[in-house]
Amino acid sequence: MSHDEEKSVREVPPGLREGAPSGPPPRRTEPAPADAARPASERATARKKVLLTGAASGMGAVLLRHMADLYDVVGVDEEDLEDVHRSKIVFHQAALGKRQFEDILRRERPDALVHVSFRDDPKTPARVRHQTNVIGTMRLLDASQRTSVAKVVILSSAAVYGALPDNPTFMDETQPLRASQTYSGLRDRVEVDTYAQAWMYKNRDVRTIILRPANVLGPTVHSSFRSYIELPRVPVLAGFDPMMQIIHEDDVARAIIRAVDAPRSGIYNLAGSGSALPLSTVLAELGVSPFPVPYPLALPLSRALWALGLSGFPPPQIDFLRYPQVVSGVRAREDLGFEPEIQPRDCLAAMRRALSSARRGRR
Amino acid sequence: MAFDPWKHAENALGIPEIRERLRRIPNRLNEYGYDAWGFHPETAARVLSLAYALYRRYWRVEVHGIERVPHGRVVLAANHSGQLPVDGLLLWVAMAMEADPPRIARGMAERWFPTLPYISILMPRMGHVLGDPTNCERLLENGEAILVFPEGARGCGKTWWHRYELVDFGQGFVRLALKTRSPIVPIAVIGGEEQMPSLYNWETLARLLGMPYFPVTPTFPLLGPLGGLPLPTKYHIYFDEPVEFEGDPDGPDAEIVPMVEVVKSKIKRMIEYGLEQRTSVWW
Repeated sequence: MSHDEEKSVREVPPGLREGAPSGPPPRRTEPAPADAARPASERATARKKVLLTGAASGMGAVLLRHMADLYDVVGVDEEDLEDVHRSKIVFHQAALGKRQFEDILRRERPDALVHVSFRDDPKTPARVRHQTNVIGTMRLLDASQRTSVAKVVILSSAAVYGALPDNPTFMDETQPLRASQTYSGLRDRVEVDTYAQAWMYKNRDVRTIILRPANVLGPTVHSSFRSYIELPRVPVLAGFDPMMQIIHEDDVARAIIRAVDAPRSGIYNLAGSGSALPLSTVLAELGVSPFPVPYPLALPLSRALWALGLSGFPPPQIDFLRYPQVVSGVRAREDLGFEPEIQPRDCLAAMRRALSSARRGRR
Repeated sequence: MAFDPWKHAENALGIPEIRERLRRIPNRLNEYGYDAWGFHPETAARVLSLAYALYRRYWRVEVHGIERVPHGRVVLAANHSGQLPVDGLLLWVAMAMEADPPRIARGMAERWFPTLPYISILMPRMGHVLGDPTNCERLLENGEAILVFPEGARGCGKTWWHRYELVDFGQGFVRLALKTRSPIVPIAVIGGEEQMPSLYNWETLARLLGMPYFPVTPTFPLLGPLGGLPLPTKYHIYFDEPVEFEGDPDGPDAEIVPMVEVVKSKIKRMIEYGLEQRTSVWW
């Protein structure tokens, strides 16, 4: 395992790195009947109450697995929750952007809000996705501020940096977000990330952490990279084999938990050192046989197939098959003490098993 | 043991010895044999074997003073010439095969290299990276050797009438050296200018094709793409003593330019010396 070579770059604006914990110290009183509805700082039990959006999603399921025994979890999602951990948590079925959500916040008064819900399915109309993703996030953040939530953790994605020919290796968190504005999925991500940043600077009293993981792989999560490798015929561009990074869903969950507990604000990439691999190696380890498409054909072909609804592969994503995307996870290591535990080889092996069992399940 | 044709070919080309040499170079490879920039010594060894054959037999490179390159972080600054970046290739080979200890000279690629099919794969596997300050700084902090041509593409596209004249140097390499406290080794390459004598730079066509320059030589584009193959000139590469500067990397140009001029004049002196010593362009 190679040593991590990234040099730390400290360019986050001042005022975001206070080390003192927020909130009043816990009071030792007899537990009152409405104990559960008070934030941890006022409750006799020390467990944090964490509200999780997107609880019914893949990432939600991973987080429930990790958090159900650590915190008092309140799950929220538009979809109903069918999960083995359902009995351990409180669940509300609600949409993010609506009044109902703020009522839930007022009633539950969580210590922390973890926002992982993001609608990525290309079959849903872009307008609907934008409403959920961007407007929903905006309303969620405003509601958090109004109900005085002490900590907000937002799961973004390293894809927001975009894949461009002049991407340096080890992009840090100050790198501009240059993801393609032409694909609504990426545009939503960039908008959410940018809005969250602006909100973070405006509302210093709320400790906000934005996490940007590299491509998330694992048996449970459905990332856009997973949609790509699950295509019936996986295309690659002939003559291109860019460096990319992967991270296991369990490591992302661990990072989120660190972010919940960390008494600070900030933006953090999540990627393991030594996790940068060429796309061809990743596909080979996953047991995927790609078919090469010459580049001059690729763009018009992909546009045509996409327009005809014959392809699950949006045209602007082609850039991710061409240009490198390697981010530096040094800041997360230094500030949050987070380093991925699952090595690339094991992560890919786990993903390969998940893919073959999914394939068997479909038959 | 079954006969493995690939293994046999690799042995014949001396690739195992080259791999052994590359293994001596400290690296940050992950378990798959890649570093984060895409360097892959397995592949690099194969390219190196072919490039080394050209180095010895075609361009018959002679290095002078390569032992002056210090250990650890260093900025190698050379003059650029020859339309095609053969000088970059030969310096890469020299540092890997002739320098002791062997080094991977990380060449700085312009941003259109990653857009070229196949070249976009090969360059990183050889160890070359995008010419971005972030990349350079991190590599130097890791103790690596960076290869820069301060004249840029303009230097490479020089016409015959201006051969061995140095065009304006960029300041980036000095600022980089100051920021990372790296020594700079000035390098003069003789033999590049005559390999592809450009009589005229067809600028309009270059713009049309998205190329930095379009050389018109006696054989190119007249004889088609084969007319663009570089000629087997004799190469001499001179290495000067390393220079260490001190100062503010973000200082005003007035402070940086004199340092650039020091390096430029050293290279100029070595070029003059090299041309004087040279008895023939070809032998």
